[in-house]
Amino acid sequence: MNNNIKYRLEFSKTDRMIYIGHLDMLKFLQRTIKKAKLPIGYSWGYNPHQLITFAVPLPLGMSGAGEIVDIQLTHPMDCNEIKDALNSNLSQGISVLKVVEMDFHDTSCAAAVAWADYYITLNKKFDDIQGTINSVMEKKEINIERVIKKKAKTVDIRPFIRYIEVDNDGEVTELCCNIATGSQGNLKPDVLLEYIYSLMGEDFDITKTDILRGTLYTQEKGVLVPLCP
Amino acid sequence: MLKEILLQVEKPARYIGNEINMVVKKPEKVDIRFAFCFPDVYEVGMSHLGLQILYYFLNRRDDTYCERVFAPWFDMEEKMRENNIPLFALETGDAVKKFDFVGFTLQYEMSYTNIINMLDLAGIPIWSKDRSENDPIIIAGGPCAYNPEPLADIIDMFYIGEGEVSYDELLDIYRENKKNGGTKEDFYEKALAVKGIYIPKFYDVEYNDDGTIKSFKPNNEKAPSVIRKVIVKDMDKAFYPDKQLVPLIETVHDRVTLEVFRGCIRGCRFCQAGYVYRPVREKSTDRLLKLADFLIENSGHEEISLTSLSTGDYRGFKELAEGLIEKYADNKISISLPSLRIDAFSLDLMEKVQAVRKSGLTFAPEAGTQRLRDVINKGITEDEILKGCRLAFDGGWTRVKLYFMVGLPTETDEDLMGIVHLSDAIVEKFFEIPKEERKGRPISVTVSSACFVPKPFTPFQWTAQSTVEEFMRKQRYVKHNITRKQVKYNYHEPELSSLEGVLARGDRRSARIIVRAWELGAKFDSWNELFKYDAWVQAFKDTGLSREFYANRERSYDEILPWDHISIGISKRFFIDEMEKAKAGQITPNCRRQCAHCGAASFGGGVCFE
Repeated sequence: MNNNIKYRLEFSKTDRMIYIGHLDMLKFLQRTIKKAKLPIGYSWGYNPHQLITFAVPLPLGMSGAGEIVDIQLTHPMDCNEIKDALNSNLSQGISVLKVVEMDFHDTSCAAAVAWADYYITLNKKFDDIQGTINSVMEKKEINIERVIKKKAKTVDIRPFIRYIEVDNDGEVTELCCNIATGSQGNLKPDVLLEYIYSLMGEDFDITKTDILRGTLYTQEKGVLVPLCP
Repeated sequence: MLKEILLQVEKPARYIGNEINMVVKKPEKVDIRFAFCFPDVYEVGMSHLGLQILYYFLNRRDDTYCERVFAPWFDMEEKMRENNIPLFALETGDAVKKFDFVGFTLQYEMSYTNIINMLDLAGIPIWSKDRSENDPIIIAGGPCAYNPEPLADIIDMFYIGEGEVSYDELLDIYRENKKNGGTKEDFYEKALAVKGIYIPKFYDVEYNDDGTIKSFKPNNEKAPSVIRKVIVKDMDKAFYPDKQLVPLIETVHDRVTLEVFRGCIRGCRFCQAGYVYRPVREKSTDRLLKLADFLIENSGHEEISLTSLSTGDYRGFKELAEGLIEKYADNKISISLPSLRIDAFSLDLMEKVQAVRKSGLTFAPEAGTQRLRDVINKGITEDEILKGCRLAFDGGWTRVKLYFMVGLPTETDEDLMGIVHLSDAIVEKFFEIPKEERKGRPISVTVSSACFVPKPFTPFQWTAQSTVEEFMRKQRYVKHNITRKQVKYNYHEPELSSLEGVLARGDRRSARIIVRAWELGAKFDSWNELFKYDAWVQAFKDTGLSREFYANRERSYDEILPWDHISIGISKRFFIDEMEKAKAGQITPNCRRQCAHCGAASFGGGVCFE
């Protein structure tokens, strides 16, 4: 019988740590957990692995301010103790912001995640970008060609956009958007940006763009609720 | 700018540091900044134990900050050159040119072009004589430093031996000299008193008409005529880090490394490591088990490996292996065993640590016939191999890997045929087992042959290396004669080994070949896909230096060898005797069975006094 206790961790990934991809991040967390001596649960089978579930991978190059991971421990621990144990072992650029105990039967973060905030700093100032965004939001559908599993497929990304806000007060344009993220529907911010740039007749270059993922949400009865309450 | 670049290159984490257990210091608070340079890509360098030891050894000093530098992969190099970004250290991102010391570890000859490339990327003049007071001091150590001559005009000072011994003294002298406003020149003069330090500019070489060395003499009265290696006497008292840098990306060896002992008792006549690290000095089992705990606790790694030249020769091996299994079996820590002599005990051990997966069995007979194995003093017999295989087959192991060398001294086609016969005999051994009793998958034997490279400080240091054409003929001969479908033959392209043969026994003039090859685009030579053989061929033409002279020529015992001013504590007399015994097919027993009086006892420790 499984007596594990489930905890949800919220963490940030910034600075130099944005250069490690998801699989390396997973390995890094596994080692940190081991080093912090948390009583981590393991899966059964020939190759037992730590019971860790990320809500959604953060692509290499993007920062995260509210990334979510669920872990299972074999013994109960105080949430602050978990946080401190991890933080004292983490490299600069990753820190655990919050730990909450979950009910074991709560939906895993990976299944629950549905929306995310993204804060995007563009490479320059686009004076009339608001007009472009307005036209995007007025559309009923936006069909984009995507290659998924080597097959070209047309996807309507309009339902995946809740809002896009423009901040044009600074030297460069900043966007804040809330878009679908997770297994039920997913829109990568770079895909959205590429589309917006194409409407403006510009070339999009992700290496010249700063993207920070903010809060991750689940959707309950049509209402957005942060994954880590 | 850096961010933009990092997002355009493969594996940007190679260039950011920030690993678990990285040392953080304030550069302005230290007196000495040391850039530890590994002349290969990050994943290779980070798997190197010597780096891990020296990094923490140097950083234990409050006055010193040791940072790491690796060779940027070619995509990164291109971006760096495009954007005028000089070579930088991972910890602070500061330019290497600002450092006090730039230290290279010389692990293999074919990394030399990367050293040139890194100096160039750093904006440091390539030739020692062209450097100014503002340039760092370029120091180098590691196994290839035992013949420092090919790099003698490039590296300012060499460290001959094990880092733990003399670095403190050297750095103390440097700090004092810097404080008192001394110049680099002052420092070099003072460093001549430090044991194990070789400063090439204090020595002059004269050559005979035939290109051999006429004389090699100090030109400074304080310079010792022979530089003797320095080694740790008592391994239990020697510094060993209680933690390890844990990379953020996958590296060649992703695990905690426990060094069990230094040296090797075996005395295989082709093996440079077996001689230069003499005598064998072991750590106690108690100390190793304690170190293992620290390393595991402080790293979060899930695998621990035992490292030494021939780990199975450790006297406390059984106790150590069982101790580790007992400690970690329930803790999800796996133990990676070195290749062991196959017997009932080792198979039982492998069974325990491997749990389910049965990886292949590895044997390194090195030569195909008993005669040639006696010549090279490889103390393994066909009978032992076959018995070991049978035991392993019974236990369900069915994949066998065999390592050989071609081009060994005195080798004939009969010896090459021996490779074929031995692999066939292993397959036949498997088929001796009645069909219904066979376990596991069908038998497969993988035969790999490397090309023999004669190395300094071995009994074969005088012998001629096979030419590229000879190597190819030998490989074709073996390949042609392997007919069983269960046997697979792998072999290396001989060009690289042939160049290694030139550099391994090169002299002071050889640097010109390395620099010319680099100018023609050679770097990352040990990476198949980047190896530019043509650049090297052209480099010989352009410099007028002969590869045959360095690699394919039989030297006489009375020739002055380029490395004669370095002493590893083993007498030349011993190597001559060993060479003569090799020719006569006589073996030399291992150090524990019978002392061969090589001279290593003069270090006053280790196996010589067990």
